[in-house]
Amino acid sequence: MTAIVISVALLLFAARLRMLRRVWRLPLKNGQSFFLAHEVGPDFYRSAGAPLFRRYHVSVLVPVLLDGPLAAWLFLTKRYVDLELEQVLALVVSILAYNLMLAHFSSLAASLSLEPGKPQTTRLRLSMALRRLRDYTTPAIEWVIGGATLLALAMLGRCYALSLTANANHFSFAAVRGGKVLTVWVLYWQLGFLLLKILFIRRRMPLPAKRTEDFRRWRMAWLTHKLRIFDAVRLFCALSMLLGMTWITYGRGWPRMGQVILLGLSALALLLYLVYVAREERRLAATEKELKPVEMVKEFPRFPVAEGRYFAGGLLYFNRDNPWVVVRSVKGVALNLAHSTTHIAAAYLTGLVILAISMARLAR
Amino acid sequence: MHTFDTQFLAIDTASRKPIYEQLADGLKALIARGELREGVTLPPVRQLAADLGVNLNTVAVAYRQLQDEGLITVRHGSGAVVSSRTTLPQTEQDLRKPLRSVLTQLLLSGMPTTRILRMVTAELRFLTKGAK
Repeated sequence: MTAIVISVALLLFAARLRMLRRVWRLPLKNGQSFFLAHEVGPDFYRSAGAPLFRRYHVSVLVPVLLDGPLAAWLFLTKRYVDLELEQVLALVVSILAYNLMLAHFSSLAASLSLEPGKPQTTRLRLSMALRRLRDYTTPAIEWVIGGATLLALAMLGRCYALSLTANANHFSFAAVRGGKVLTVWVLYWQLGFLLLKILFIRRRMPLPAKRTEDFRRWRMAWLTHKLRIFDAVRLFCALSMLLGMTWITYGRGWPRMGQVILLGLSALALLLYLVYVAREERRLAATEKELKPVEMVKEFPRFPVAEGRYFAGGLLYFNRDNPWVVVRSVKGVALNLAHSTTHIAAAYLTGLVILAISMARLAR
Repeated sequence: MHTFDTQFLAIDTASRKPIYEQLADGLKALIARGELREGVTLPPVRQLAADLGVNLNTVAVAYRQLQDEGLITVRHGSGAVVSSRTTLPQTEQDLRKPLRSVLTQLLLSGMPTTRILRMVTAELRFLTKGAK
């Protein structure tokens, strides 16, 4: 069991390092004449852009440097479950931090690369096609997720009923405790990915006036990729919950062959998930390659600096009348604390931290 | 899983025409062409403003204009819904006014009448071509 926990923690750390590597290289992805998606002058990286480029790289390292000592301490003190949960939280926080960071540095680069006299983009287009969750829902996937969840909950109910009988022993109580932890944890992740899916569907990304059709194709490919990954994660979570509950409820009483088959099924589900994700990433990369350099056509009107109260050195902002979650500020971008999306994200992250702490306590 | 769309709304922040008018005209064109059918819910004011990067009031004014013309119905809680593909009854004289104004502009620009006619026919064809 300890080996599995350590392996998961290492996998999560590896995923974070992979993400760090990708974000590190992102400014120069389109060559020396670009910083992220912004076209810059020939001397940008030797003049005005040099400190920005340095600051960008330092910022990329911050999440890993911040939690590194804590992770090392947890590993050395053999708190492997705590380490695993800490890595889960660090991964989620890193994803959020990197996305905000990219928006921030993108805005700064746009300010630095402004050429006086060069006409600024003033036109944009927006698709008004209906964006409903049901149009982006695959019924078969939802049925499997629903069925697996109900079965897992039924098994939890059975464990609970057994723990109330006169024959209840240490294993019955352990099964209820383990089952509760597993189902609550997985259902919470399910909720998170469903919320993300709704957010991605509802957000209509503006389209540039140039190469609108190409950009729209890229946008659809990108959206489809994200939604498929979210569905794959939700499906994987539901199947993991079902297999986990089967193990907790019946696994101990099964012969060795049965246990091996159950573990094999879990490994197969993980393998299928990884293969699917890799295939989807290849598909998106192929579209991006075909439409290259569509990412460079992100020419939108420059939004004015948002008016309102700024906090935390200009990183946070509060204005109920501003419809944006992330607004342009004098120092880059700021997060609008008055927006409902910010409230939902903050509530979800708080719940995740509380859940992780209570799970770590239960595991001891 | 889903279909590709062609329902574009175009905005030009440098145009002399106010953004709310551009928005209202764009939505009217989509309604006229049947891209936005009766019963379709338009995005909430807050969401559309965020997507376009414009002020909340700009979208609210555009929606109010469409509501005044009887094209959409705005209900608290359920948002704006396309209610009709025809504006409230107007006299032919009222309808002629904006047409005459645009035609005057075109004539003043020095455009020959044959070209103006071609342009009007093309625009009319565009508006009715995809009408569903």
